[in-house]
Amino acid sequence: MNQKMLGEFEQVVLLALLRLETNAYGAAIRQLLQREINRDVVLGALYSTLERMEKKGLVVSKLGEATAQRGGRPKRFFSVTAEGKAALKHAKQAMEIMWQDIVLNVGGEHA
Amino acid sequence: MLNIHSSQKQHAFMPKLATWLLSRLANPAYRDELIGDMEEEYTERQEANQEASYWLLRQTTLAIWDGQKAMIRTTGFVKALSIILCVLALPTIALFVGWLSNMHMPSEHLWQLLMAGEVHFILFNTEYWEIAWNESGVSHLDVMMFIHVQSILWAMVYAVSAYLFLKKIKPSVWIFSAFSMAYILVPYLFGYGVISLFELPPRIVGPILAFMMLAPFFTLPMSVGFLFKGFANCST
Repeated sequence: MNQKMLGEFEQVVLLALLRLETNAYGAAIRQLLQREINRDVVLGALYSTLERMEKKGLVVSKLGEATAQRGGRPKRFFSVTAEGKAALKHAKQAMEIMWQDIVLNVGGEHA
Repeated sequence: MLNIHSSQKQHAFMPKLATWLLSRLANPAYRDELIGDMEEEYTERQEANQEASYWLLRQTTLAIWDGQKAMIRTTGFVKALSIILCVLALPTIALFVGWLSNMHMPSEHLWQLLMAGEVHFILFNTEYWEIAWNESGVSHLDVMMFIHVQSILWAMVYAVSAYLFLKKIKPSVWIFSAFSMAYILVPYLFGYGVISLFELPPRIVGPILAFMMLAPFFTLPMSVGFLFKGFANCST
């Protein structure tokens, strides 16, 4: 099978979608990445990545209802497709293979 | 996520300028959702006494940058750019051809520029524009001035290769524009190179100058035609 290769940010975003399950929308994804891996993501870049992954068939999205808290604007909820999950699994396997027998000595600590 | 109790606290809306800018300049594919997310997080930050103004400025600036990058990649933008180029270049070339055909005793400076093939400098010369506009202007133009076999042949070669390029390669709009631009610029650069390298007499420089200007004159509108026909169904 011609497996789609994922970039590092794509992997991180896909994992965030899986963690957030049914509540994966822009602000929630951004805040999760900030909280969990201390990554201050720009919403424009996040949407740009999600749009690209949607075109590749890795995620799908649907519009939610508009709320007053958001100035009457809807949320766009994203979820990972089977193809996205397969690509993520492939990326994980590839990294595990590459990490085998690797011992990093960073600042005197073994990782 | 941050917890909010909007019913208990004053709702702090995002500044109208940021909303206005984003609603016009952010990527239209996800503009509404993006503004909604920013509105939500900005409110949460204000209510949690977190830094909000710098955060909003950064998010807005980068969202606009991202939106403009996406806009530049669209077919609609390339089409608009090609129309602007046509509107600017075609009358300029026509006026230059009229001036060249009706030229009587040009100044030493203009003559030297002409014999060096430096049309790009002539077009930035105020003396040229005064003469071209007032003396040998639009009213002196004649269809026969534009009949130049080599230039027409060049445009036909472009037409055939553009057709094949679109049909066989199916390029992106930017690749096709670069391809067309090469056909438009090559005659000018070729002519300029030949005139610069060899000291040619005026009777030989004349036809080369005609090719330099008339080949792009015929090729440019054709390239716009191919752009609109080849990418008729693409607006994004």
